[in-house]
Amino acid sequence: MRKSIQIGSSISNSNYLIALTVFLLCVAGLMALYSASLHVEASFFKKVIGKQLLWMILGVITMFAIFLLQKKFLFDGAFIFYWIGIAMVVLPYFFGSSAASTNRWFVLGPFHFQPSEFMKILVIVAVARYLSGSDLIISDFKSLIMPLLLALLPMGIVLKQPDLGTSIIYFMLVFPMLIWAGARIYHLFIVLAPVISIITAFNFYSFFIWVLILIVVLYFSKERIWVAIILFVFNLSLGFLTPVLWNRLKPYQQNRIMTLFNVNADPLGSGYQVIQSQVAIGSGGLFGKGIGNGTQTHLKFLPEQHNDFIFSVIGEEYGFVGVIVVLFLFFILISLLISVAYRLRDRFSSLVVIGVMSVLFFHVFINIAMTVGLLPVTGLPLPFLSYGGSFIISCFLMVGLVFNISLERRR
Amino acid sequence: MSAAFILFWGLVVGRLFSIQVINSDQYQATCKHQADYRKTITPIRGAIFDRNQKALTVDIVQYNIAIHPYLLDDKENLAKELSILLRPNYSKYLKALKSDRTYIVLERNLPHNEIQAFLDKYQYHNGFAVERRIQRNYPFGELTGQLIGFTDTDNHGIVGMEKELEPYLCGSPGWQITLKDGWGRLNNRPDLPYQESTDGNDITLTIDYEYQTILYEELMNAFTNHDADKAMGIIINPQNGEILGMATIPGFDPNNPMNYPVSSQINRVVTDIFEPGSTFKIITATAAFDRNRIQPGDIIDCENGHISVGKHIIHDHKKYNQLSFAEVIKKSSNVGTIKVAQKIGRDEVFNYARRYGFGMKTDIQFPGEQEGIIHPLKEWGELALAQAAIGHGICVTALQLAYAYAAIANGGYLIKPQLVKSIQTKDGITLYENKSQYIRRVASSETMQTMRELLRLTVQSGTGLKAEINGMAIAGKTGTAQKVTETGYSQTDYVATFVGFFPANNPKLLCVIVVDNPKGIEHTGGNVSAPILRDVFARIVNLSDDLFFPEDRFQAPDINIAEYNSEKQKPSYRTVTTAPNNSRVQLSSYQYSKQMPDLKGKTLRQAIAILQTLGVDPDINGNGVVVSQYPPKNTIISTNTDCRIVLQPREIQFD
Repeated sequence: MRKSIQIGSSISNSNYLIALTVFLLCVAGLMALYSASLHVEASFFKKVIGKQLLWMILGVITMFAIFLLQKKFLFDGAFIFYWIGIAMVVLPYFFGSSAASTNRWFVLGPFHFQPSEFMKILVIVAVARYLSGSDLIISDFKSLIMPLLLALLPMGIVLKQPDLGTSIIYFMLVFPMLIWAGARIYHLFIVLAPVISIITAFNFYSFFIWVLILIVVLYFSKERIWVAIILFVFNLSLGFLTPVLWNRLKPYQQNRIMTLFNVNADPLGSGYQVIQSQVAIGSGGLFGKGIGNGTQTHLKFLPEQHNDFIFSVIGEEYGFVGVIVVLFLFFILISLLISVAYRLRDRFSSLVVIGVMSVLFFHVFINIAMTVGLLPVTGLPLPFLSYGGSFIISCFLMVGLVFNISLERRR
Repeated sequence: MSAAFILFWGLVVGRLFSIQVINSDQYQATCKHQADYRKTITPIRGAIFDRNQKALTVDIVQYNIAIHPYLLDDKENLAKELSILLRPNYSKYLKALKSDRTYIVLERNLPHNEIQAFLDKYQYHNGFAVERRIQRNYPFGELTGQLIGFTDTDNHGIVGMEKELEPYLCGSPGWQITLKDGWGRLNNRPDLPYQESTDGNDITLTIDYEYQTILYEELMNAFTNHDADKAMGIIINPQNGEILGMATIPGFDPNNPMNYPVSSQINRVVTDIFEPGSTFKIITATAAFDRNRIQPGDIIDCENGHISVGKHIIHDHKKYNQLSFAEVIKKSSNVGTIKVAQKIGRDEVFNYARRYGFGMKTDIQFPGEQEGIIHPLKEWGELALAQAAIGHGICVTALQLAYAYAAIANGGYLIKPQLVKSIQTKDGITLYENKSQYIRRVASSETMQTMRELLRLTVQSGTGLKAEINGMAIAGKTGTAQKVTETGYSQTDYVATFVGFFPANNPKLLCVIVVDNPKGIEHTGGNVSAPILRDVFARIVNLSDDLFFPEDRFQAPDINIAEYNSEKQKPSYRTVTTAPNNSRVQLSSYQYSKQMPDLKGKTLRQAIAILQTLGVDPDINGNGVVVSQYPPKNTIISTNTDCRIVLQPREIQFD
């Protein structure tokens, strides 16, 4: 893992590049928001773009503030912070404002916080803390249980809000960290298998293919035969039971579950948002329509254009060239984070960086895949580009955490 | 893990490349299609006026004003401003402006003139949706029903002048590119292009509202009194071809066309063809005079009221024997006319029928004109000629009849009907102004002069007597045609026609009255239609001094007008007199008894015709024009009085 001789200067260089990339992404985001708020008649700081700029400044301040934290403090307090975070996420159920009938917000004076955004960081830190424990045997399946529970608890709470996108992030961010920590891929496969069984169960062919894959993997896993059989039967019965159980549910119960997986996703029915988003991006063509000329954007065909569909605004107004630049910036950012993690000697620090990297990656991937119709709409914002106070601050916090941890050695 | 990332990136980039570069056109089309909305702005339709600028159509322009509250700011001040510009409903407007709804109607059916200031400022303003509603009304309803017609729900003319002049009336719609947003709301933006609508042009018709009213009312009276199937009439100015009135009964109200049968929407003056009957005898007469084949005084043996043509026998309505040709026309003898027609031959009869414009369209500016029926000459046998001479086996429109007689009235010119006097844009620029259009000369002016004299005689003492008005020199011709049924000519159903013009010497008005199937005791043109024409003219002359005292402008009458109107005595005779330096016939009437007319300057033919009507048989010396006469003018004469006239060749041709 450790190849570079000049670690310090290399990481420092990476950090400058990360800062530059983040800066450029913020600029791209502001350009998109500028266009989206072009025909809104209000003073600058009342427009989305003005507010976003304020949030970004606040984000940079918190980014520097996190420098004051000692890594040791973070390491020792990881679980305490985690439980405080859980409390914060639960609190909106009792005191929160129910904006848009979801319990996401936590009101503190004039500010509306979304604790679930910050909870991601606390999950990263707690998982990293657990996985960097000196007595942990990562190749043991039992070692996976604790990190997964750490993710599943906030996931369940947030799913109840309901906020499918964020809860998926909690779950997903654990896996790259586990891989980074050295967990066996086979174990991760076993963990994910029931989820895949349930999802594929709704379509016969997909389930059939999945069962074949399951058989092949189990055959080559050198697993004890009875464990393999139990695993196989468990997944098979899960697959068969799911449709049966689903059909026994009353329609309103089905609806309740469906809403869980479709948070305000489709207000006008049958994929309207995704279609409009694709029309916006597609009509942008190679070079885009130019700033302020995106009819999809300005005529509000594009839903959630400040938040989850900001990428479509870029696609429409800056074209293929614009989106490739944004994708390239994200690719650089992710690569830099991996390289930083790669170079850090400290296991905890390295895992935190990987955690941050996973969160950013899944946000970027799920969001963009959603805007181009590769994934269903889940409602995840695009880091540094989407409008949203808590989210932009949490993104800056994560980057600040990376800076802090990677430079800790020199203090 | 890096491989997985690169795979994900590749997937996204590939997808983006697919939709943004490969299939971009398709998405661009979708995008444009769903956003661009071309909103049309309906123009105001042109108005139609009568010749005195009386509006025959009224467009009620109303506006519905709605707002998209979410697009409007500074709501208090705006509400205040709107309460000044529109209606004083400040609180209502403020409530609407602050509403959460995306679209609220503020006011409905506001008249145009009251909100001009608002329109100037806010018609194309973002957040306002101004809808213009135009309703076309016809203030005179049935009176101008078939003539003006009406428009459909899209404001396009579909009947009558509304249809004929649609290209002028409709204007061109404006448009406004608006963008429809994702919620289907329309956004006005000042930076998007728009084109104001161009309003339609105003039309001034040659129709005179007063004449139209009189014609309509008198036709309606006749329609009711005679229990007719249909009645129609047209009044024109025979000198320039302008149509002053045109009506068909039963009519319909163009404001509610759906309440009437479609058949009542037809302007039958233009579209209905019928056999003209005796009114068609002018063809034979004109041909005979114009070709110099006969003189008014020539005696024709009317064979005691019947003539056999081939296997058929044609009868007169009364038995006549020896009649001058003038009397043949006056008394409308079929036998006499047929004999003359046979004498001049089918070629000439056909030729003059065509010259008069029968069998072809008059090119009136009105939809649906029929050209009537005149069979080709090669199909004219002996019977066809005999029938054609008396107006059977031939079909004409009332319009054709009017313009054929107009040729007689105006001295020989077939002219084109004029229905549109002028077309002007709303800004007052004249696009079209009518001028009388000459088509051809039908016959010489002398022939026509003779024709006028004969037609005057017909009213004075012939079949058209019931069209006569004291003191008014009306000329005309009756026509009574049996209707054609499936089994041949009907014995009970008739079309009663009268064509008259006035004053006979210099006609200013010409009117055709057609009553279809009068069911009373009376069924002839002379008894049914002539009185209608008389009533129409009697009312019209009262409208204007020019018509009431026609002689003032031309030639002093031989007899004081006051005498015409004396109520003490009924008129017994009328004479035709001439004015020496005017070749036109001066017609006036004597009230007490026959008096010797002034024949000076008349041609031989004319003098004979005049004297014949008085029952006087003159001695003739010389030829040319009359230079002296015995007894002198105004001498009371009787049928037995000896009369002598001396003629000399004319040195100066006056006509």
